[in-house]
Amino acid sequence: MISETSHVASTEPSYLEVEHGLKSWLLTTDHKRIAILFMIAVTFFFFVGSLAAGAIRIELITPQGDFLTPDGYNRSFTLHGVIMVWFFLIPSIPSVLGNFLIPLMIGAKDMALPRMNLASWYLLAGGGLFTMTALIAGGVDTGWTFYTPLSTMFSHGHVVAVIAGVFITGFSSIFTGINIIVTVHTLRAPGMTWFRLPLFVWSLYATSVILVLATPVLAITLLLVVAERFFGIGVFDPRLGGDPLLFQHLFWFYSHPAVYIMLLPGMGVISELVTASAHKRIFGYSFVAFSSVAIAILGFMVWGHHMFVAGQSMYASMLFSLLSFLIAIPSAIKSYNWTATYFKSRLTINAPFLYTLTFITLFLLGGTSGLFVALLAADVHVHDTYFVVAHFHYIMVGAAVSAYFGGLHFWWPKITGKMYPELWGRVAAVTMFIGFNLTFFPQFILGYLGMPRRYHSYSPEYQFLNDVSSSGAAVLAVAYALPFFYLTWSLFKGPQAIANPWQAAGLEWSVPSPPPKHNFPNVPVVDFEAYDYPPEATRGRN
Amino acid sequence: MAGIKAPVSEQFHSAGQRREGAYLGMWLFLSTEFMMFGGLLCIIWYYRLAHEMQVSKAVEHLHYGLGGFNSALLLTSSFIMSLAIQAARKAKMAHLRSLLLVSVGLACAFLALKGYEYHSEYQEGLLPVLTSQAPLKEPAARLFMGLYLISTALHAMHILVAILLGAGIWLRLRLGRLPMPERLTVIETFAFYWHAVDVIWIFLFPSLYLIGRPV
Repeated sequence: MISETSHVASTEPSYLEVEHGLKSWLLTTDHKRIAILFMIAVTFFFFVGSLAAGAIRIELITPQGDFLTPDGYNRSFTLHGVIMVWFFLIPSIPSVLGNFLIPLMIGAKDMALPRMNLASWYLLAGGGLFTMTALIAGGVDTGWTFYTPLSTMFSHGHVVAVIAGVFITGFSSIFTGINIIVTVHTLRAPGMTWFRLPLFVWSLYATSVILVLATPVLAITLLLVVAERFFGIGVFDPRLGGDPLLFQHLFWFYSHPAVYIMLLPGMGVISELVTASAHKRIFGYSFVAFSSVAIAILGFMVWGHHMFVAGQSMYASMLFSLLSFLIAIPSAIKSYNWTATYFKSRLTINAPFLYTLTFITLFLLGGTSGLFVALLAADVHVHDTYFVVAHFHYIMVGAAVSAYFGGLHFWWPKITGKMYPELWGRVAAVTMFIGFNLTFFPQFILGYLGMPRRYHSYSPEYQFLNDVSSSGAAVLAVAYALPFFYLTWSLFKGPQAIANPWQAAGLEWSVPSPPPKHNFPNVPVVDFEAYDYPPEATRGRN
Repeated sequence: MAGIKAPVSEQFHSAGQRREGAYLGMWLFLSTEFMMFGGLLCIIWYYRLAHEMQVSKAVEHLHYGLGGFNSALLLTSSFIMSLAIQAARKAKMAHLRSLLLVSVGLACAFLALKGYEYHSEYQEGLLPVLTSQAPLKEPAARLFMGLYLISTALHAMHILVAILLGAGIWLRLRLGRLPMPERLTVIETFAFYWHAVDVIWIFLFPSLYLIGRPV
C-alpha cells in the first residue's frame, strides 16, 4: 500500500498543536508526546554517558595514568556503563520509536495503558536523576555489573544509591514492556492479523517479553546486594555461607537477555528501513518474525557464557557454549534476509539507508566476533580483554545505536512534520561508520594481543592502537553531535514533510505528518499484507 | 497496575476490549512478581541443596505452627475474595463491601501474626541484623535465616500493598464510585493480585518452614 497522495487533507490539529504549555506535556497520556519526553531524556543520558566515554579515551591516549586517578578511571567507566545500558540503550528504541510507532503501525489511537506509559517516563527520569546524583556525589567503582564481593565488601562508592536508581528504572522497563504486549494483543485494527504486523512490532513484542521476564530477576539480585551491604546477610559472601558465583548467575540471567533488549528493537528498525529503501516486501517475512522470537527465547539460556573462566562446571560451560552458538542462526537469518531483500531492487540511497548498511556491517562483525567468545578455548584467551569490549560495542553501539539514529532519521518527518537536511544526514552516517570502526576495530587487535579491560594504564607497546582508537572516538563524537544540531535546526527551518515522503508502505505513513492526537480519524481496516509494495517491486525514487 | 484506577478509555473501542487489556496487563505484572519471587526461591533451594544439614538446623527453630495458621488465614481470605467477586457480578453491593472488608481483615491478621512471629524470633536471637544469631552456629544456617527474613518481609510488603489497595477499593465502593457490574474489572484485577500474593506464600511456606524439619 503506497500512498500516492502527497498530502492527506486533514482539518484536525496535529498532536503537537492540539495543546500547549509545559503542563500539557508533563501530564500527557498521548503516546506520541510521551515518546518525545523519552527522546529528550535518553538524549540527555546519551550525552552524559558519552562524556564519561570521552574521559576514558583521553586517559588511554598515553600508557601512564595521567588524566584520571585509578579510582577516577574506575568511576568513569562505571558511569559510562550504567548510564548507557540502563538509561540510554534499553529505553532508546522501545520507549522512543516503539512508543511513537506501535499504535500508528497497528492502527490504534494510543497505547493500551496510557497512564502507565507516562509513569514509565517518570520512573526513568526519576531513577536517572537519582543515579546521576549518586554518580556526581562521588560515583561508584564497581563497573556496571556490580560484581560481588567488590560491590558488597570492598567498594567505597555510592553502591546502594546507584543500585536504587537502577532498581527504579527497572520498573520503567517493566511498564513499557507490559504496555507494548497489551497494546499489540488488544488494539490491532480490524484485519491487522499477527502476520500482517510490521516486523518492527514483532521484534518489539519479543523485546517486551524479555523486559517483563528478565527485569524482576535483576531487581531481586540488586536487593540482595543491598541486603548484604546494609544488613550483613551474606547471600554472596562465602564467610557468611554465601556464594559469589551465584551473583554472576543471577546478574547474567538478566543481563544477557538485556543485550537482546538492546539489539532486537534495532533489528526491528532495520527490517522497516530495508524494505523502505528497497521498495520491496521483505524477503522471508515469517522467518524474520520468528527469528526475533527465537532470539528472545534462546537469549534466556546462554548467560553462562559470561562465566567460562569464573569457575563454573565444565559441563555447564560446554552447554552454554553450544547454546550461544545457536543464537547465530536466527541472527544470520535476519542478516541474509535483509540482504536478499536488496537483491534486484532499485535502491533509494539516503541517510536511513546508509545507517542500515552501517547496522548490517557492524552487526556482522560484532556477531561473528561473538562466536569467538562463545568458543570455550578462544574465550579463555580473550576473556576480560579489549576483544570483548570491541565485540559488545560492535553490537550495542555499532549496531543498536546506528539503528536508533537510522530510525530517528527515517521517522523524523512523521514525528516532527519536518524534513531533515539530507546531505548532512548522509555526512553524519558516513562519519559514524568511519569513526566507529576507527574507535573499536583496533580494540579487537588490542584484546587479541592481550590488553586487559578496566585498567587506566597499560604497557607502552599498546599505545599506537590506543591512539588510533582515541582519535576514532573524536570522529565518532562529531558523528553523534551532528544530528543533534541539524535535527534541531530542522525543527525550526526544515521544509514541511508530506504524509509519506519515502513512499513507504505501512499504516503510519497513511496519516498526516505529524499525526493528529488520535492518529486515525476513522479506525483503519487492514485488507493488505505488511510491506504491500507493488509487485514489480523495483520502483525507486520518483 | 492495570484497571485499578479509573481507566482512560478513549483508545479502546469496547468495554470487552478494555477488560481484555486490563486482564492481560495484570497477568503480565504478576509474571514479574513470579519471576522475582521465583529467583528468590531458586536461591533458597540452591542453599538448601548445598547445605542440607545446616539449613535444617535453622528450619528446626522456625515457628511452623504460626506459619501454618497464617497460611490458613491467607487461603481463607482468598476464598472470601472469590465470594466477593461473585457478589460483584450480581451487583450485591452491601455484600461485596463486607466480604471485601473481611478479606482485608484476614490479611491484617496475617501481618499482625507475622509481626508477632518476628518478635519471638528476635527474642530467641534467631534473626540476622538485630541479633547475634547465637543459637545457630553454622554460617549456612544463619544465611538461611537471612533469606527467610528477606523473602517473608518482601512477601509481607506485598500483603501490605494488597491491604491498601483493598481499603481503597472499599472506600470507592462506599462512596458509590464503582458501580457493579460495570466496573467489575477493578475488583477482578485486584483479586488476581490478591490470589497471586497467596500463591507465592504457598510456595514460600514449605520452602522455608517445613522441608528439612526433623520429625
